[in-house]
Amino acid sequence: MHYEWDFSVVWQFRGALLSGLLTTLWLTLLSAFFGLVGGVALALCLTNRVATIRIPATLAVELIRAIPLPVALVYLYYVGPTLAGITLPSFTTSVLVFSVNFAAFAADVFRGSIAAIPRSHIDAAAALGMSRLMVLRRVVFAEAIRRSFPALNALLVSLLKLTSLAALINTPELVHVSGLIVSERPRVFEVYTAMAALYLAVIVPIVYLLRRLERSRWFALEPIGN
Amino acid sequence: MIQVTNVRKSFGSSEILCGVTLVIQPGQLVGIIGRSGAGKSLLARCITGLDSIDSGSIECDGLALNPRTTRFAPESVQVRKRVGMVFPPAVVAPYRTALDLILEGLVYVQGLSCADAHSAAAPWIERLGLSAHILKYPRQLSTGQLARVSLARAVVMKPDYILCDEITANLDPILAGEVADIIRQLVLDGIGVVLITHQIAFVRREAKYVYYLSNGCIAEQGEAAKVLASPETGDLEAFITGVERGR
Repeated sequence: MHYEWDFSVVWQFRGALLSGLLTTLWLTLLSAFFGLVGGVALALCLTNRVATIRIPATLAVELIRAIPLPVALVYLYYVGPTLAGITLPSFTTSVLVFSVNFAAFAADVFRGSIAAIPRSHIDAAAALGMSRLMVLRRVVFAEAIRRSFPALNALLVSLLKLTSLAALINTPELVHVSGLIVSERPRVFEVYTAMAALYLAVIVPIVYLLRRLERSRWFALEPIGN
Repeated sequence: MIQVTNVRKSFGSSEILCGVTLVIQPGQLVGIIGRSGAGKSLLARCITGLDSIDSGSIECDGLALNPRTTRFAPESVQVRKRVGMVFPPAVVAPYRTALDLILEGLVYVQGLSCADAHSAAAPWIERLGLSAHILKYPRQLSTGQLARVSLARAVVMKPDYILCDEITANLDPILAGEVADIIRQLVLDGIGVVLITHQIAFVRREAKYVYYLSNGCIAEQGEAAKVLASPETGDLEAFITGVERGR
């Protein structure tokens, strides 16, 4: 098959593509931030001894994990305004859905990491005369973050890719913008090749950076040291 | 003085400590010996409030721990500031350097600046032969070095008492001797030291008083040299013979 490639369309719409990429990155960053905060809060509920806190949190996490992201996005964006009478912009809806979803998965990662902390590490800190809060900060959080870091990295990269689903509710992220360009100028191969290249250009360095951080003394569970 | 009175502790239906009573005086080296599972480590954890007790009482220089005292109750935390605990070498966070581990209590419990904490800990770091290893992570340290880090972590806090749980268990005789020298010095400095160990020879040589714990009860007690030279119970005699045969 012979095909005449013409990337001038990509150059012509470079501003729109970059704006779409920027929206994708913002969506990822905000969702990861709120998701992490929510994930820590949920993890503390999941590991709580009080059943009235733990059981609702467990049910919420399981429910959120069971709902497919496209369903959550479409439901909240199109059905939400009718049911609750609240209309949210598509970007806000996307951040909300991705944050909640990320929080549920991150909470489960944190819960597992907290459960994996050897009791002896907590005892050794408490034996110095640390208060409960100090032990929580110096040992439980410090160690849970290190134990969670590799799994959270995978979640973050996955989130970056999943933000493309926000196109379903017209959030002007990279996939949606590319679709608009194609409908304007039908150079499907060129536009989608550029879109894929932009995703790769962002994801590959992020994966590399996160791998480096994973091995650094700030995030490694057992740093190799000097 | 630490006064442990009739302390009982169970896990489910199994009673681990069955009415233990003992005294630890400042400036005295006390040995607690017994078979594995006799309840020695649990007793140390109860004395420091890391585990609550079911009945009885523990008093440490005016601070009382009773069955209602929880792990992070103010009394428990205060007791742990006075009674240091040296854990077996493997019990350290793998992501902190030896220096971080040693200074942790000084900075985060006593509130010293890093520089002041470093100055306060420096003599101990030097004395314990850790100067060359201070920036290493636990996995880069030998068991002996880790044991000394554990000891340094407790002694820099200047506690009134120190409970050492199997501190010399994995050390070669030379290192064990060095640790013994330091423990001897701590006692001379007026610190009450409790050695929880299987090393009978060490207790016989160094301890003033010894308690033999068997199935959660104090089966024998008295002056270390005397009790270990002529045990009254067959159980202790068998324990001593077994330990010395296994050396």
